Amino acid sequence: MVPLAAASAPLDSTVLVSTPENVAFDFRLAGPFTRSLALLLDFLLLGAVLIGLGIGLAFLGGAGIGFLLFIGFALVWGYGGLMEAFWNGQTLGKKALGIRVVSESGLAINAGQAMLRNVLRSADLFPPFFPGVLAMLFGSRFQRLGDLAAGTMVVLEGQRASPRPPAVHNVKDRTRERIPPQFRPDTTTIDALAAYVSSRHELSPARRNELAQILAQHFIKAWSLPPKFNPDQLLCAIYEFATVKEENRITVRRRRAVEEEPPFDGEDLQEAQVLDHLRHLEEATRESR
Amino acid sequence: MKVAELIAARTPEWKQLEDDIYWCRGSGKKDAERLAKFARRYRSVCGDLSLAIAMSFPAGTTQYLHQLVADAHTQLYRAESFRISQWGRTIFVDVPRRILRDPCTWIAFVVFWGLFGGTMLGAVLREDFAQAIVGEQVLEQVEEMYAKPLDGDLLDDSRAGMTGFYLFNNAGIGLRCFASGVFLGIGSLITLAFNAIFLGGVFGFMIRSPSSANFLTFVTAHGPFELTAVVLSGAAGLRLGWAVIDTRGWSRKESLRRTAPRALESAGVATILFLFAAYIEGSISPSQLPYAFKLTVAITSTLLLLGYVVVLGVLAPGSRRET
Repeated sequence: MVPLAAASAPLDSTVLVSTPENVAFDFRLAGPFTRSLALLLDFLLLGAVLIGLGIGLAFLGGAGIGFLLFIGFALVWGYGGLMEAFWNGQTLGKKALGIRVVSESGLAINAGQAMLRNVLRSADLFPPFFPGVLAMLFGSRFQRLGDLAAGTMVVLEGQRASPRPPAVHNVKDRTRERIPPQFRPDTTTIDALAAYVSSRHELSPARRNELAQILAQHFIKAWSLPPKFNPDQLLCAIYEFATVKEENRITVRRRRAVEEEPPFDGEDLQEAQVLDHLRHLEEATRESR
Repeated sequence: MKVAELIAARTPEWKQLEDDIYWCRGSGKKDAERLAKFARRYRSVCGDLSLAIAMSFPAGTTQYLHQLVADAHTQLYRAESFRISQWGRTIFVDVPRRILRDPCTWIAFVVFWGLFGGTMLGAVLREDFAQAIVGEQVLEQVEEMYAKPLDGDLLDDSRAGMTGFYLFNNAGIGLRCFASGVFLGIGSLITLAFNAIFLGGVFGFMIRSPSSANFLTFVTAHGPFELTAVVLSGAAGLRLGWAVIDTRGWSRKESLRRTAPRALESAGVATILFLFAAYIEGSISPSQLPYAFKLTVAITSTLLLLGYVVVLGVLAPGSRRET
């Protein structure tokens, strides 16, 4: 079986949605903190608009105040719903925080859902228990009561990552030649290599070598390479090698399954060692950001 | 083909899909040809995502594709949006039918009017009843408010202001009453009961008071719309809460999700009634029009409400049972 979700995706903050195209993609959920910030922004904005209007309309006397309260009612109860209905699930606060409301099915929300979840906000913010916050903490998708009733969730838009992988520069031919041609890395190893290759440009050369060494030392030992072999170069070469062969991988696997041969797992490389490398890499990337 | 080459080859297509998504989010008429291209492009990028997952593309690229497919999917498979033409049917056909057949309406009706009538009766019969329930301070304020006959001239300027205030305050209470129904209906019941007892106490007290004529002149005209709106808000909230209790075989969440839009429609109708009530309360109730006129307004609105709930509810086509 081909895994549909990337193994590295944390289970608790993403939601897997299957499309009619038979592909599953994941939404990253927005947490309570981001969402309350967006709400606070919206409240401040509403407050500012109402105060501004109030100053303007106060000169008109009773009629002005009546109009202000009318607008106030419409804004307090309708702002979120109307914005989300007409602006693809975003209010100004949500836009600023880069989050969006979508249906649980991953579709855009309709007007009814938008109004419902916004009218029910008053129940969610019911003091002193704030049931909405409790619902978010105990539910699986950070849904407050309004979300549960409307069948919606709030997802992160975030900044778009770049689609391009960082190029693997100048892998020397003699490095490439040191990889045994029959070598077939398993999925976890390739994931680790891919993760390393895509974040190596954020690290200094010394740190790069230090991190690469964690995984590379096993290959160096297994393939009897010189101990001072450049680990960064080696991992880049293996990644390149692995992904060149990648397109054949599925067919290779199928053939193996027929022949009922145990899969060849990169010499004596243990999965725990690869995972260890992945963990170090994650820490280093976090530090360098 | 190497992964890197594959990614480089597909990147222009991905960028194009990004543009399409922005284009789709914008308003205005959509060009059919481009929409078709967008759909096709989306499907091919779905294929890229499967490939990316199967072939362990670099994490950044896979993440990017997840996001791209998610955004395109949200845009392509749209749910129905705002249709104002649908509103007429909702307001004049669906909601009255539901209101009439929903036991929640009658529970809310009985709770509100029962407590209202009971408290009023108690307050009329015993002098200290209202004081004990509503509180002396509030009653003093109310009595002072209606001590003088209505003064039309004085109120003229603030009529619009009061209309706005009544809408903001009362319709807000109505919507909160509806929303708090999500707690198994308890919030709505408490709001209903509180308002019924409070208003009943004030009514009973004022009927005994020497300025009862002023009070009744003021409250008659807008009473029917306002009190019906309170009952309907409570009923909509109860419906919401009952959906969590009696799930008819669905999960609690699913049951709530299925019932909530309909309950919201009832709450919307209640808000419209609050709007009518606020207008009457702001402009007709405080005016110096003869009492007969205000009484006519009250009787007309009662008949309208009866016509809405009973006549439209019974006549409504399609008598299939709804939940």
